[in-house]
Amino acid sequence: MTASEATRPATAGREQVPPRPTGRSFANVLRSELTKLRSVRSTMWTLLVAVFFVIGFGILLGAVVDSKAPGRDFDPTQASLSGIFLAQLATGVLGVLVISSEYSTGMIRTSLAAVPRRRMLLAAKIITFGVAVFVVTAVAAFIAFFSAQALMGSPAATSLGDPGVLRAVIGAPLYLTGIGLLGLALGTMLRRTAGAITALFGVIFVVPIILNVIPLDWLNHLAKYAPGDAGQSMLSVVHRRSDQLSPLTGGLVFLAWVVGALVLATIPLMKRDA
Amino acid sequence: MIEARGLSKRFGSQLAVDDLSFEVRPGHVTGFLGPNGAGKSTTMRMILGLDHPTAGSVTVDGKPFTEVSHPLFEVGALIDAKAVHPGRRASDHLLCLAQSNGIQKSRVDEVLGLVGLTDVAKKRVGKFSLGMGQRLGIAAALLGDPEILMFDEPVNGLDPEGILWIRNLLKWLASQGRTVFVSSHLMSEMALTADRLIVIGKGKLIADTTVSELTSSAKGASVRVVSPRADELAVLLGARQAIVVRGDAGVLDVTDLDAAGVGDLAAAHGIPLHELTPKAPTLEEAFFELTKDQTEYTTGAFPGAAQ
Ligand SMILES: Nc1ncnc2c1ncn2[C@@H]1O[C@H](COP(=O)(O)OP(=O)(O)O)[C@@H](O)[C@H]1O
Ligand SMILES: [Mg+2]
Repeated sequence: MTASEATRPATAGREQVPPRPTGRSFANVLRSELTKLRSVRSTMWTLLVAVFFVIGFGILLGAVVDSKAPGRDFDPTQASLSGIFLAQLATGVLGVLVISSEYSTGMIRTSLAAVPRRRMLLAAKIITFGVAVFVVTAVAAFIAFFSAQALMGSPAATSLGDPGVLRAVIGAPLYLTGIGLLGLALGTMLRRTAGAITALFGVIFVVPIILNVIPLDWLNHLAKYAPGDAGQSMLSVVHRRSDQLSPLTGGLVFLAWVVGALVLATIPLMKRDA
Repeated sequence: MIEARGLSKRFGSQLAVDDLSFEVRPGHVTGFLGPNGAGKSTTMRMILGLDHPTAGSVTVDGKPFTEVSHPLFEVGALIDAKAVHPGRRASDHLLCLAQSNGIQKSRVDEVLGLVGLTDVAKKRVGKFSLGMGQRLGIAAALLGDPEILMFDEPVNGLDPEGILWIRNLLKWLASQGRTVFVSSHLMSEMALTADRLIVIGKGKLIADTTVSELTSSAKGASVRVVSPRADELAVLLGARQAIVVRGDAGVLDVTDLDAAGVGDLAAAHGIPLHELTPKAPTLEEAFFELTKDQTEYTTGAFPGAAQ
């Protein structure tokens, strides 16, 4: 039977056993958000692009470094994870889309009619998106790390057991997830896909440039606290530039940006009409 | 039961909903009627907590909708058939909604069957026609088998078959004792499906009534008379206190005197009649009468329209 053939609803009476809710509210909403995430092709493709960049650049860098003697400042861990610079475009855009696509399609009204507690809906999006991106990019980061080290060979290569290396490899998925969540926060605030993506990449790429270009010492000093620079400092093992925060400080500053943006995003989320 | 008290919504300088109070009682199809721009959709969005009222409040079974823990079990709503992600398969769209309220997956297949979308369950929603989208929205509304159903202009843009299907669905839902709240700007549509009516215009409540009350309270019947000696007849009718409106040459529209009265009067004076047609007020006219001061954009009468 096609849709147009059915001219009247089934004539059966009321369902004998009406459906009753099962499970806890928040777990239900998490499950729902996971279904939303995996059931749209573009989100799967975007994630795949992030994975491709992370692994691809790991292999590329591993192959290139092999040919020449590494310099003293060479950081084999960070080099193997260079793919994050492009992968962040994918996770950032995906984070924006998780919510902006609901606003642009109108799905948000259907979603809120099913889950009217808006902060709960946002929290479920944060957790499902965050965990999914972290798990997928963590796998990619480890693959990138191991393939790059294998391709480099000694003496350039490092191992996971060396001080700071494991922390730096885990820093890659943390960074990519954080950028995605920053996108999610901006998408929630601005609702428009294009606007939120522009704002996100403005914050990551343009703000540090402006801070560095203006010849004021205290401004140049601030550049390392920008979300991109602070977050990327989590990935460094060997060489620490004087204009970069330590991995721990940088990680905490980055976390503060992400959490701050998400908390700020709940204000328009609650106040504005959907 | 849906209860609105002093509900108001302002968009900038425009008062879209103005101090609206009403109740939607269980076991009825309540029509929510008003011309385009009257504030029906805005009111429905406020019921669902999507829009925040500027003043007043609205509750569903005594609680604001946003405090309901499993909303799909209480209210099923079709606000906008296009409010879906076009890239998602119909079954996944329903599954994510079902999961959000802890509804079993098997129920998704059930509601797909109920609305006749089983064969296209795996199709992406963006490829759906308007009618299929409407059915999908109704399937979503039925997921939790809720007591209250709310549909915003469900027949808009549908082909006659789709319209018929919606009408049957509304009657079927009401026959099970559910509360059905359905909006329309078409009186004729409401006459076929609703028993109670809440009529609004420019955001204000115009009438809270039943379909039968509305027709009987409408302006009295009129009689259309065509005669070659219409002018003479008009003078005679005027003397009998009947209200006569002249149309085209030879056409009169008579109120306050029935067809028999007009016919007898004409016969007594030997005036030939070419047509004598009693016209009962349609619900459409009753509605027009109620809302003519309230419509946002009043269109000018077409030249040649009988007046
Ligand atoms: N989000 C909005 N922003 C500004 N004006 C709006 C918005 N939604 C509705 N309106 C205005 O409010 C009035 C009522 O609209 P609506 O509730 O859609 O009426 P109806 O559904 O009865 O046709 C209209 O004049 C409309 O232009
Ligand atoms: Mg409307």
